Amino acid sequence: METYFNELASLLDRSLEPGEVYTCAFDAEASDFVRMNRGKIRQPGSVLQRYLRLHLIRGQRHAEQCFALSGDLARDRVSVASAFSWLRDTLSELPDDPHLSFATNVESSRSVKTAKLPAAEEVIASVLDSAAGLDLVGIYAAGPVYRGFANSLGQRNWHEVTSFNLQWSLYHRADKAVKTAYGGFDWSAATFATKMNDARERLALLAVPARSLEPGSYRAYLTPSAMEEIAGMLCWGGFSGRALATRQSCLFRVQDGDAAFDPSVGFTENTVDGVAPAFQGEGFTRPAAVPLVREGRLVGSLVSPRTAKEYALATNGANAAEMPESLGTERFRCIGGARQRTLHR
Amino acid sequence: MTDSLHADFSHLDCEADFWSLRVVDERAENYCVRKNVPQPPSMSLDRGAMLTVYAGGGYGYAATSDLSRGGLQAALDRAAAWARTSAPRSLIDSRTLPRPALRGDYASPETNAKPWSRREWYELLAEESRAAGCDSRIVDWEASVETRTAEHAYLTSKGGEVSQRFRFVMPSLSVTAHSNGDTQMRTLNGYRGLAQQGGEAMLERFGFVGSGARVADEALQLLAAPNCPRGVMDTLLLADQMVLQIHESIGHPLELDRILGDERNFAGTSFVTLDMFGSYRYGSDLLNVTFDPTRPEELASYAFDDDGTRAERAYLIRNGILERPLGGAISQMRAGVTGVANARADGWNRPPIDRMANLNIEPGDSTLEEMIAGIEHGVLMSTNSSWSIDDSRNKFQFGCEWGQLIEGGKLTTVVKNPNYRGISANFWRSLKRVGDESTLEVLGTPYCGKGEPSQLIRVGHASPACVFSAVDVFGGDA
Repeated sequence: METYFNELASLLDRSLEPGEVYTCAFDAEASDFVRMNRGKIRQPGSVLQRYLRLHLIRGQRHAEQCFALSGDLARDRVSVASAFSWLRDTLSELPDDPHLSFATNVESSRSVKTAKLPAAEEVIASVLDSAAGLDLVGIYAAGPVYRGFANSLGQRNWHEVTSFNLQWSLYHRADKAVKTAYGGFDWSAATFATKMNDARERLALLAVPARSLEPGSYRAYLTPSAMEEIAGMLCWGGFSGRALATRQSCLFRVQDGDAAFDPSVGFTENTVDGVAPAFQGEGFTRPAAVPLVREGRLVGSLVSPRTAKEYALATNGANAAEMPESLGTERFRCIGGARQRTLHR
Repeated sequence: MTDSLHADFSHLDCEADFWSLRVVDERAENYCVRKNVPQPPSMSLDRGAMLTVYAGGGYGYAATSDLSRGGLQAALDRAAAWARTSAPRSLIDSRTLPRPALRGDYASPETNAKPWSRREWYELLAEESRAAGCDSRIVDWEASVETRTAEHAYLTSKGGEVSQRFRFVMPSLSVTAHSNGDTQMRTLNGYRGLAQQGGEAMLERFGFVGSGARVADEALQLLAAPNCPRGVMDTLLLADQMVLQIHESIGHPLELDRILGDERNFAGTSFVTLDMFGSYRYGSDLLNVTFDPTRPEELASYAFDDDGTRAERAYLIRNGILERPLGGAISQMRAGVTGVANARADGWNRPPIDRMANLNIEPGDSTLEEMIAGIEHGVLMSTNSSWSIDDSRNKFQFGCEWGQLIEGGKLTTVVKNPNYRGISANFWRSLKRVGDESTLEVLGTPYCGKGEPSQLIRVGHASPACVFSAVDVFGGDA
């Protein structure tokens, strides 16, 4: 796949006309997805997909096109030519964009984390065997994910990671269940067995007759998975530099100093320990970590190149949506799943 | 697409009970003017295929963006391998599933009409942006549109052949105002809440021209407004909030795959159980809910679903009584109940699952004026801003952008942050009045999320305004 991407980038280089700059982001995966319900297989399948997001710049004008690729360069060159044609036609009608920003410091990188995972069919067999007699529902996703960046300034970035993510719920009855996740790079039957045994033990607790609590104040323990849900909500614009600048972030009062979290609360965009690439769609590299909340106070935000230009801030390589991709707590643990899948819409 | 596809399909080789090929070819263009700055335009071209196989009682799929004959054959082989290996552990015996063999086609309204140019779109969006940025308290605003065309082809080893062409226009406008520590956002029917099949004629139906100034004015009114009061009161929900109410507390609970447990690891389950169909009182006598894929301009109209079943209008709830679920052919076979043609995938790389499509409330006989006049103490709410509902789609809490008190049968004070809470199983029984055709709007959302791996799909909701009695209402300071 890396060879294909490099050849594709060379084709883009050769396709440029004087005065033009391109950047491109490559996004591909070869994944197995297996849904399970009632301890059986509901929907097993595989997806092989490749996309290129091509961004053409001339002066201060720019536009982008994202298109699916076959993987055969001889056929894909037709799509590339068509994309350049549409982009050039489009640029001729556009005004200058005052917020255009793209990486001009060439910082190439390569990160490959391959793993030899057991075949998905083998994993599913062991999962379902271990859940015999239980009402298991869940999903197994596995395979390589590829991200690439290239531009006409010569920058090349490659990120390849093979991983798996199994998420499953064991149901007691109705809506009472325990949910467990096991994700990583090397499947370990022993680790899975430990997690399944733990899930079984927690499931037994659900058989204890429920006690209804009266409304009021209680000291509550939130499991890591519950914290993930809460942190996930903050990701919807909470840390966005643009949302903070336009007072749409739920944390703008924290930014103003009018409110604060408990001093024990801390969040960091922890790229170095996550599975997201260390570069973003416009080619900017990401720092290993971006502190966001320290001792309950907002100390940083996620600033995309475009927001940086608009609000005179420094970008820290955030994606266009300025959403965390590897949000961690104060102790730098990654909260998000170990596997990412992208919808192309 | 069709000729070469037929040739390739006829050359595919598979030893299986049944196989199918589904090809999706979508083109989308996005234009946006934010704070009077035209944002760079983008286009996406997404094309790929899914091969599905039934073999030995098992089922499998494989999707690929390689549409060469070799690419399709490789995907078919992979799907067949999945079908064979999954057979001994399969939840469903694929030998009992229907083998679609229908032929037919479908086209959205104005599919062949010339679309607007980029220049025309940017001129309109720039004008609305200029009008929206009218006050220093307005800190962010944007006008945007997504136009999309799609071609879907479905071929089966039993001779099935379906071709469907779609065209969508989805404009959006939002304004954010901020003052004295308070932020209020007002949108035109929600983010991408205006979404229909067909062409640009929909802009006039929704008054998009001139909406920049109107929406900005409403955002500023909200900044100056008091919080919605707390209390139990009659509540008038306009169509653009009814969309959310229908979607979350009728649509999702009636999805048959949720009832069958497929979604319990992610999207959730349902308070509805199979024994309820045919007898359960879901709402008051005034509640009539249809699955209607035949309304031409509605977002999810089609002639066939993605499993090749012909789509027809059907009542899900009639005079308040629950009749049938939102379940496609496979779920119907599993559950032993009659459903509708709603097995849908959000693209070529995801398998069909039970989805809402067009889920509508049939209009009643009350005008908006009559509904307001009939409320002594209540509140009108419009345009969803937040939603929260439990895993079984029963207990909910929804918030709206816009509220206005109704006192003595008249609209009075504008209020901000109007919220209400309820329980699906009871809420629809408090349906007191249903608006007539004049209050009905054909809306929807392109972003209904569900499934593992996740899928975002277009759904349509046509609804009149409705009055609910004795609703638990609260404001932003609660």
